[in-house]
Amino acid sequence: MAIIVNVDVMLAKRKMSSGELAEKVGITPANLSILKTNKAKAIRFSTLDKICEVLDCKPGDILDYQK
Amino acid sequence: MKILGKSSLSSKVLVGLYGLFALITLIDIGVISIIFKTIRDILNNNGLEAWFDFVLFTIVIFTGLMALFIIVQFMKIFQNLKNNVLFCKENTKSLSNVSYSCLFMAVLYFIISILILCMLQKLTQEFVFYILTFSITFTILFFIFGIGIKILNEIYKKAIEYKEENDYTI
Repeated sequence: MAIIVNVDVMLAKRKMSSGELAEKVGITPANLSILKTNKAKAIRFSTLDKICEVLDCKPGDILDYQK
Repeated sequence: MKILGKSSLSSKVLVGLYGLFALITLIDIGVISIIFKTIRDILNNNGLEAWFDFVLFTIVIFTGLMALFIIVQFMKIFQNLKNNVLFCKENTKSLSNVSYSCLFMAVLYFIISILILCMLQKLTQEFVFYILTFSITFTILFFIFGIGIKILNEIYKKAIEYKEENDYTI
């Protein structure tokens, strides 16, 4: 898939751990791992909204498109 | 009534399948002994009828083996249902095997029907009536089962796809 999830980049910028993000967003660490490893088939707007809120960023900072 | 999981209907069906497997194996062993008898008849130069019996019972053995194979596939599926594993690729593979086996069985019964029609004058009328009705019915039944299970398998595959999509939606 051409959509790349850059959650780990944002996590590094915000100096936040995956576990902390998972807890604050309200998803399991396993699901966050699926998202980080680009195995996810879809992301709910509610999850994206929460991630953006916790990481204080825009969806474009997390999601990227590469041909 | 509980359908899935331990001590449910699926586990009881599994026991039934074990019984059916044993029964078909016994019948197959019986047919093998008949085949040996027909081989003896062929060696004693008993003519075309002995050859007919030999080919017929060899095909019957093959249908028995296919039936055993189908039962094994159903055992795998019901074992998964017993373990509450519903949507896994293993089940679709088993269903696919069952559908192809059913179609192969239909072909075997069709060959039996053709063989009987070829030997029409050599056989007694009553025998022809019963076995021809039986083989034609089984040809149609297995053909319908084969196609039906293939379609069900495709639906099952789609269900697995949707489940995976759901599982990977964060």
